[in-house]
Amino acid sequence: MTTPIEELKIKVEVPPYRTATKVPLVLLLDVSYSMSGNKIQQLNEGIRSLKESLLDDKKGKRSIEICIVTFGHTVDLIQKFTSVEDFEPPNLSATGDWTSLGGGIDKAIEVIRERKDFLRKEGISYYRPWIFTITDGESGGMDIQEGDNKWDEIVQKIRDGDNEKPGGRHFLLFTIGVDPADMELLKKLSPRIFKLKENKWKEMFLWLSSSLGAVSRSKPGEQIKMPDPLSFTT
Amino acid sequence: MSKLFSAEKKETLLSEKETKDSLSLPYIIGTSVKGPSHEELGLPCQDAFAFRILEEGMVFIAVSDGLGSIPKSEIGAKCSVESAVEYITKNMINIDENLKDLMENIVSFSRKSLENKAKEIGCCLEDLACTLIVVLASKDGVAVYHIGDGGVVGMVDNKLEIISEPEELEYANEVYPLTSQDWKEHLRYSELMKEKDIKIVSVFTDGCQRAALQKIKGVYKPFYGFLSPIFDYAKKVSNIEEAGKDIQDLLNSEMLSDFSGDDKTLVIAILNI
Repeated sequence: MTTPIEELKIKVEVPPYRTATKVPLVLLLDVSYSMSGNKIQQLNEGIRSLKESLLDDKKGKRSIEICIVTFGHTVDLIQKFTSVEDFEPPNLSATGDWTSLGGGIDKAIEVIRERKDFLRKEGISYYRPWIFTITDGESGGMDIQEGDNKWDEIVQKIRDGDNEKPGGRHFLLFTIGVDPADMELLKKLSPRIFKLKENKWKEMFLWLSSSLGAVSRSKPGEQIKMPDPLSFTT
Repeated sequence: MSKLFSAEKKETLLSEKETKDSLSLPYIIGTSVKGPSHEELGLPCQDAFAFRILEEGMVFIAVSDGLGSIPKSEIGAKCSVESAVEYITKNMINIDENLKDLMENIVSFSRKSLENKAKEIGCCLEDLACTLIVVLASKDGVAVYHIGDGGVVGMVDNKLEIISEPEELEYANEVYPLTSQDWKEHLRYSELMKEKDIKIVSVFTDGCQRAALQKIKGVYKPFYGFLSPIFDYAKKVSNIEEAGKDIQDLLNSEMLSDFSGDDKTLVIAILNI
């Protein structure tokens, strides 16, 4: 004869599988001509390794969704938000004699806003989205120059969206400067800036994968423990 | 302003020990279990609860969840629920007066107690970060003040009804604890009026929340598969202590541990049959 607790355990159910909470990631990638050769090759390999390590993360692979915006002469949304499993790493090539970093940031902010609208409409919960920018940009060939209107506009958009005030906090912007990036200039734009150590692309993507995994596992009110970025930066 | 509670005032205060043996209505079963993820990380159970069976037919329940990575949050959770019970015990005389004000005073007193505790142990108020749900209920009415996540679900007019939901913030890993600067703006009051037939009230932290509540197209609904068998079980209980152990056993089960690695607290008050 079953005891009341045995009977209870048999009867109690939990709700059916529900969509995991999403971590929207925008990879914002510099594909201007200066990135050609070893850099673009490492970037492509790095993106492949990102997918591999995310697939190994049980929670992460259900949560993280990847979008890719490239910027060179033009700004292109080359990958709409997709799950890790469905993500096909692209084979990027570096062309274009211009670096539309400002346009790229604009586009990334826009796709995040649209994604949030979509997730809210579908009743799917999400964490604060990431914009992960990789650029070797120098001010010479960029679409935004310090002091011009477009520069001021972009700086303001970043400040409005990436701050800790109520009404702000729309996304987290990370910028990786690849040699010979003008780090002083990038610091003026981006709240979180890292200089990539030579040939540490794989380590950087591993850091990205671990960090996003930590976000996907975070509980309400918890401070997220991120891995040490010193593996890829100084 | 209508009175929520029709119970006549009595000076008797029934303690949990006395009601365990008699099992007259109302009675309360409550338990907290440490979640497996807390075991792995070597964290203590950061949930806490306390309750009091008050004047005839009335119960008071307080439930709190200390925030995950905050080192002393379990002290905060314990302090907030104990001080809430302390306040209602000393202020029962005010139950028939403005209920909402009384409930708000309970929460304010809990917050003040957290401030005092922080000074006493030499830490910041933020180190004691925790959520808080306080519930005053009888078969005739329920009043809730709620800050943070977790929820309150009742058996009302023979159906499951959500009395208080978790706070909805934009990002899934955010919560406003009682210790935050703008706590008053995130404090939510809910009330059920007298014409409802309230048989059971349950209060839980977020470890049970995803099992007790289901989000369908962005709207919370009570999940019958979890709560209904538990309520049926609770109605037939003859020994409170055994029942507490049984619910603990359930919350520690493989099914629930796999479902959520979090600490879990569930308090069930049977108000009427």
